[in-house]
Amino acid sequence: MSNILEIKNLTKKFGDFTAVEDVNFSVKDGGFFSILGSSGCGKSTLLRIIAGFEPETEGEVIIRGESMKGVPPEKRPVNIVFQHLALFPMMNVRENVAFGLKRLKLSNTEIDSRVNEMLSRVGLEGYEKKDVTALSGGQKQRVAIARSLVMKPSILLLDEPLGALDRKLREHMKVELKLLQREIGTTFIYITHDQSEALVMSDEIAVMHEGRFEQIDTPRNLYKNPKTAFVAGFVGDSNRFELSRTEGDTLITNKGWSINKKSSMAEPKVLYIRPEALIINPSEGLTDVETFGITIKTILFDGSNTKLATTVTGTTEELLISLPQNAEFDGLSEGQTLQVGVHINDLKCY
Amino acid sequence: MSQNAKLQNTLQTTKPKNSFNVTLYLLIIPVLLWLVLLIVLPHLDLLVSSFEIENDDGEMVFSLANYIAFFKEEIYWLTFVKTAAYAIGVTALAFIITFPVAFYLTKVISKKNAAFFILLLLIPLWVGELVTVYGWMVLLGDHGIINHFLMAIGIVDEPINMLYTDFSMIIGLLYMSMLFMVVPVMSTLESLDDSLIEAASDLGASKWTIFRTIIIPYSMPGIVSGAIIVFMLVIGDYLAPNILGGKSSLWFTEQIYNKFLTTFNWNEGAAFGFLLLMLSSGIIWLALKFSGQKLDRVGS
Amino acid sequence: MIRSLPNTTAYTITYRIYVGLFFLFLVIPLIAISVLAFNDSNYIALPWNGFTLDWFFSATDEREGLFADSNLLESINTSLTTALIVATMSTVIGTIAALLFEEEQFRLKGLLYFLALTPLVIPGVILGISILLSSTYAGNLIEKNFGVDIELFRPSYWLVIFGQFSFGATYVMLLVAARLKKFDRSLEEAALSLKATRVQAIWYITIPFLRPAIIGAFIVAFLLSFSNINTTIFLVGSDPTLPIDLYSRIRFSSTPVLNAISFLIVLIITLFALVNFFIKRKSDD
Repeated sequence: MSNILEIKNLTKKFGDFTAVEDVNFSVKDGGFFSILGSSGCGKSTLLRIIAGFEPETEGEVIIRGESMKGVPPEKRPVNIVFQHLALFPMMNVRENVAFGLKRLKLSNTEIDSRVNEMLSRVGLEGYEKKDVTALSGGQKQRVAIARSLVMKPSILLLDEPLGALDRKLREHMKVELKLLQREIGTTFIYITHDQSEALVMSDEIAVMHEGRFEQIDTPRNLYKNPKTAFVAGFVGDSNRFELSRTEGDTLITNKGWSINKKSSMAEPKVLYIRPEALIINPSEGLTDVETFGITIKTILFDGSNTKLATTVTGTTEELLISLPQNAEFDGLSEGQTLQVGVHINDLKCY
Repeated sequence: MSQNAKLQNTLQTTKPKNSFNVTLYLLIIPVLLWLVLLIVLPHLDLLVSSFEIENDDGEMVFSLANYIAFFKEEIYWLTFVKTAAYAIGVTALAFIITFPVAFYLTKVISKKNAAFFILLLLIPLWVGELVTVYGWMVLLGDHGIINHFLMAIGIVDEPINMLYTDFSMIIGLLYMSMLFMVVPVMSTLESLDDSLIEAASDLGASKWTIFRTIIIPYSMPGIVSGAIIVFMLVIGDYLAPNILGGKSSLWFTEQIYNKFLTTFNWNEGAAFGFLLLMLSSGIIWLALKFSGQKLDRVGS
Repeated sequence: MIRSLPNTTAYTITYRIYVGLFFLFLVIPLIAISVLAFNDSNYIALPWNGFTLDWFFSATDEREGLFADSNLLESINTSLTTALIVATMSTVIGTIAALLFEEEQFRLKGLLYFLALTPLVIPGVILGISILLSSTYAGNLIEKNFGVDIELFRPSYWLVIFGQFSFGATYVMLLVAARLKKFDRSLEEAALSLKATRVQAIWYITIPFLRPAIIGAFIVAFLLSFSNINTTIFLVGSDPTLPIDLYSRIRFSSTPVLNAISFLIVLIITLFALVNFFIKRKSDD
């Protein structure tokens, strides 16, 4: 597969403020690429540069091998699904979806067949004459996506389109969107601050922070092997410890907890441990597993996501531990002390 | 403003330049024609004309004579000062009279009931000044309706002289301008959260204290907008002083009218017009300055 | 004090009486002229001599009713056509100005916007004499150099139209801009992303969104024009508008026909306001 989009040394400044700083990446044709970052990190600006709504300060956007420098949005082979969808309230479903095709001056018969095909693809047959304001959140979503996809763009840009939906519907639309992308094969570039959306749907994710890309990787790698402290803290849940010093292989935290980690890097500053990396009551004789005692402060019940809030015995360091999905630990209670272990590879230092 | 909001703002205002120039020209040309031909040039001409007189050869030459005439002739500058003073007085009256009404319609009665009264407020506005001024003429005249009733019930034997006095003129000026005070004041009061008043009352404030420390400061933007419009309308009004005012109730617009359409001394009229323009812009500028408000807020 | 706070009865009653008196003050001149339009008398005064429609329909020399008075009908016609043209021009240019100032960035924007707002605070009399002066100047210049006298530059029907348009456009601009401020810009961007040109985006998306404000602004401009006198009085030529005609009648020759026409205006405005009121109430429910 060839690269459909290449971004080279892209920088965008608003006065003194640098919104996007020297960003480089490429996206493979047919891929689902997400840009993940908190609000204000520059991801929306990046998307708007690709769409042509903002001129870049430096660098280049190349789509299908052609530079987009100075090409206005209406001439670019991309379409965008907006954060608040931007459905035209004065038009019905059909008119919304047909809007772009009409601008291309296609024949009425072609417009009709393409609109009908797209509406049936997103499961909106029979809704042609409906007012867009009368649709449910999920239906509006589908109209917005259909309206863009009917243009057969080289790339579909999606700007947090699920943000406005309630949680249940968002979970559902995540799956639906990924299946739709697989079926149609259009390249998606998806912007979100919700890591679960990015992890579930994407082939590749770029984590963006203060205008820069921290890491571009597959969802699995991003989760398993975060390259920077920011990624480790931002993607997934983690326990974070500030390190005061190291003595040989021993890491010592600010609050006086020491734990061994072989082959440690020079002068790490922070330590991350995922709650699910901690093993309660580890069996004796496991290699490369560090064990230590903890005291349960409280149990945070949340169904399949239940955690223990604990302190490391003998220190004031707090530690969250995921509870395994079986009834084995149902009898735990506050104040109890336990032994827990962690594999040294799961101690992430930066 | 947070960093993000700032950025969001910039996002909305910056646009790629190259592609939108055509639209800019399509929009700007008609607007420029309007503003240059009908606003800028006429007022420049007003200024230039005010400094010109016709010499013996029938040529226009530069002169300060038009302005000198204004200051020399007592009746001119007295009228000018009187117009300004009365306009300020009417503006203050309009505020005092209408504020309780605006408050009543927004905060005391329900929205549904208020809608009908607001409709009633707007009718005299749309009917136009001429008709309403005429209505007051019919009411206030010596043989007018009010005198007819007063005599019929025997309160007075002789008709009271109300028409063609400063009193009737002020009634007319007040009537045609006060609604422009109500509308902006109502729109600021509408946005005043009732719970602010409830909170003040809960903390033990009296009605007067609430009024002075909460309601008036909060509605200040609306009051300033209203005051500017009322003042401008009153100072530039011609009908009420001319129809309802007496021989002694000279209004500065009448002087301008006389210069242009009776004595045909357009240059002196231009000077008078320019003075009136300076007076109105000066006072409006002061009002905006002291309230820290923007001009476009006045229109909305 | 407000709905939710208790008041003494005396306070409530005093307040009600005050508001009642205010509204009485508001409607009394309108009622007075309307009633006298039907009084069977040659004078605009009480006592009540019985009901008549003479001041509408009579065609005798002594009582020339509204519908028999060809001068009056002519000036009504002039006012209506003037108001239609002024409202159309103001709506087009005012809407363009709103789009320009809300959507575009250019040099001297602040100055231009300030100029567009000035008619709000320039007394109408000043607008009238300024336009009279400059158009006369332009007319003289053309006559001197080309030997043609162009009527537009003399006090005339069209000069009135331009004079009223000069401030009408400002009101339209403010009304349309107020709605434009509520417009979600991403709708326009969505149109661009769907391959519309910028002009198409404005035409298909922005203008339909603005439609209610544009219609409202048209009506406002119409009414401003129809009732204007301060500016018009300096620019009017041989065909007076209705307010100019009524003004000279009030000053020189009042008969109850003035009440008849005033009543008609009050009636039309009231009906219009009521229709508007009920449509709004219905759409709110």
